Parts: sequence; structure tokens; C-alpha cells
Amino acid sequence: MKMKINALPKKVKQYSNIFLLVTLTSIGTGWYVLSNESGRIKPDFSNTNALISKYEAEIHEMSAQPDLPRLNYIWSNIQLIANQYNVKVSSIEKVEDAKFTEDEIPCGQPWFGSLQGTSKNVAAAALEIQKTLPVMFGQAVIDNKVMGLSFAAMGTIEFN
Amino acid sequence: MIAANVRLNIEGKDVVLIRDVIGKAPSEKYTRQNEGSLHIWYEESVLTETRDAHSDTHVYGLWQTLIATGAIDLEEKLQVLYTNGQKNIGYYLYINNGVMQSGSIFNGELHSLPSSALSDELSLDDAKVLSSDERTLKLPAEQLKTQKEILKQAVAKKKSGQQRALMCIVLIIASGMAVDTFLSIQHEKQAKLYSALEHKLNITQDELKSLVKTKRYNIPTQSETLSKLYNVTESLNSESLSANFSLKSNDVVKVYVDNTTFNSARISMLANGDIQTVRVSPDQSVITWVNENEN
Repeated sequence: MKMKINALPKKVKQYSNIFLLVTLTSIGTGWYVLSNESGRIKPDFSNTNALISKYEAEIHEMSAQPDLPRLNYIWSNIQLIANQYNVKVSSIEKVEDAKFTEDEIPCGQPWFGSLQGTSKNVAAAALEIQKTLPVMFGQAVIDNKVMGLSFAAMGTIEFN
Repeated sequence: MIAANVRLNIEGKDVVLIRDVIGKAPSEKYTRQNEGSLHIWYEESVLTETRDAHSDTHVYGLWQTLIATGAIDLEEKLQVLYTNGQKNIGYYLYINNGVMQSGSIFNGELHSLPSSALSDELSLDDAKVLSSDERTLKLPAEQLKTQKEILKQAVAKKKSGQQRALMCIVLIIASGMAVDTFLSIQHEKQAKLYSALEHKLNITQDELKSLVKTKRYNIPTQSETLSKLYNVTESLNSESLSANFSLKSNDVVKVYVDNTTFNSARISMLANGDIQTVRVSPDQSVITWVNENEN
């Protein structure tokens, strides 16, 4: 009639499988929830709101600016001024030929052209043109006493 | 006075205690039951006979009840419980190095005492006498059961454990699904809000693009550069000039002019804070400035 004092091990063994199963289920469920959550793309509200605010400020500022004239009006006025200085005006088809890039045009629909004549007259005409019309000058080439100066006139096109 | 096989009243209940043993089972007829961390053994036939004889009472083991009461002192080598007034009949419990053995006392003699107790020359005089007062006893958590009842209880306990585990697993999975669904709904709400915000952003961008096409905005003023160009070309009107430059802001302008004996003074006169004139060779000078346009 001998007996050893048994303590907790048997009970621990009895419940260990349940603990293991519960632990594995918890880990699996946690992994499922976390992996699903990590797959969801978090929308960037703050960045989008900041962009909207920036654009709205630009709209506010831009709305206060005067409207651009129509391109044909600008073109005829350029010719008018150029004639006064005995300067020839010609159109340039491609933006690259006028030595501009699309990004450099700040507003409106661009129309590219060049002024050609004696250097002094071209410079004087260019000064006069820019005082009154939305025009930006690009590349100048001086050869002997003659100068060519490219420009971009910025205006609107009226569609019928 | 505690005794086996007689009706006793413990904690207000009518009970009968039967003889049980602690240690190794005396024969295969004995059934084992746990009491705390200890095992007790009893004859199933005695249990069923006692139940039949005392149908309205609960049946417990003698040592089982003493263990449940906390009467057993594991530090004592020999403990005895007398079941008569003469103190010559009863039961003993011998403990040696954690190994227990119970037995009976008859005519003042310890029966079946192990050899280690004999070598220690233990006698009843060395024993701690356990209280025989039934009022001091406490009932064990469970009555004695037959092997069939124990198996039935074990099966029920296992089933109950499995059910609890299953419920626990279902609860965990359901909680996980609920959290996932909640997060998904939250995400959908956020996505809807963001979609509305993106729509607003698109409208704002379109409005801005439309304004950019129609408003006079951010056009650089190149009057300073054009004025310098006019001054240079007017001053050197009759000279041979050559240049190829951009009028964009911060670009460097270089106008080359052939040197003659007549124009050196005029070239020098052009030089001021913004315009530099440098004689690069005996035959040529260069007039330089940096464009500073305003928006």
C-alpha cells in the first residue's frame, strides 16, 4: 500500500491540448484579422485636404486676375506694334522651335512666333509689346546687325 | 465518535463512512478515487452494499473525509484514528519520505506496518492521535463512486471540456470575424468619405485648369533684360554683334562685339553694376549680364 503524492502535472496535461488549440486559434484569428487590415489601403485625407486648400487658394488668387485677351487680338496688336518699328513678325508652329517647353507657359493658350529686324528695333518693339500684351520672350539670336527673338503670346481661343 | 459503516452527521448531512485505504491498492477489486492530490482506494462491493443499506445517505471514505477535513499532517510519520473508547481499535497512516501507507489497529496493534516503520521501532505511543469528533469533520467535494460512475463522470467531464473548448474556439473565431467586419465597415466608410474628397479635389483641379486657360497669371516681366538689350544694340548700332541667348530668368547673356579703334570707349561706357564688358582678345570684347525677370 504505497503511494506517491501526485500534484498538478496530470491536470496540466489534461488541459494542455485545449490551451494549445485555443492559443493556435487565437494566433490564427489574430493573423487573419491583421493580414486583412494590413491589406486595406489607408486613404491620405490630410494630404488631399492640403492639396484642395492649396488649389482653392490659387483659384482665389487667380480669380482676381484680369481675363486674357483672345489670341487673334494679341496677334494683330503684335503686328501693329512691330510694323511701327519696321520689324517682321512670323509664326512658329512647334513649341520646341520657339525654344520654350510646355511647362514654361504659365497661362492661356500659347501661340508662338518671332520678331525679326535690326537689333535695336526688335528690342524696342519687344519692350513695347510686353508693356501692353501677355507675351513672354524666349530665345534671341543676333547676327551682325540683325536680331531674331522668339516669343509666346498667351490668350484664349474662341470656339464657335 | 467516528467509525466506519455507521450513520454520522457531518456538516448537517447524514453520511456513512466506509473503510478506504491510502497507498497501493490491496487487490484488483479496489477502486481508485482522487482526493486533492492523493489517491484513496475502496471496495466497490462495500460501497454498493452501504448504499443499499443506507439509501438516503451519502457515502464517503474514512481517510477521504479526514483528507478533506485537513486533519492529515504530512510532517507526522504516524497518525492514528481510534474508533472505540478503549483506544485499541482504529486506523493508522504511516508516512515515510512522501510515501504513504494506511492500515488498521486491532487490539492495540498496528497491522501490516512496513519494515521501515519496524526498523524505526515506531509504536502507538509515538503516533499523533487524530480527533474522533464527527463535529470537526468536513465533507469531501465528491462522494465515493463506482468504477462505472467514475467512467461516466470522466466521459461527461471530457465532453464538457471539449464543449467548453469548442465554445471558446467559436467565440475567438466569432470575435475575430466581428473585429474584421467592423474594421472592414470602417474602411468602407473611410473609402466613401475619401471618394467624396477626391471628387472635390478633381473639381478643384478642373476649375484651376480652366482659370489657368483664361486668366492673365504669372507672366514674367522681362523689361529689364529687354532694356539692357535695347541699350547695347542702340549704343553699338553700327557695330558687328553676335549672340545667341535665352531671355529666361537667371540665364547669362553674352553679346560679342568686334573691337575697333573707334568703339572701345562706347563699349566701356556700357559697363555698370549689372553689365560687364570684358576684352576677351585683341579683336573681340564680350558684354555680359544676368537676366532678372519679375513675375
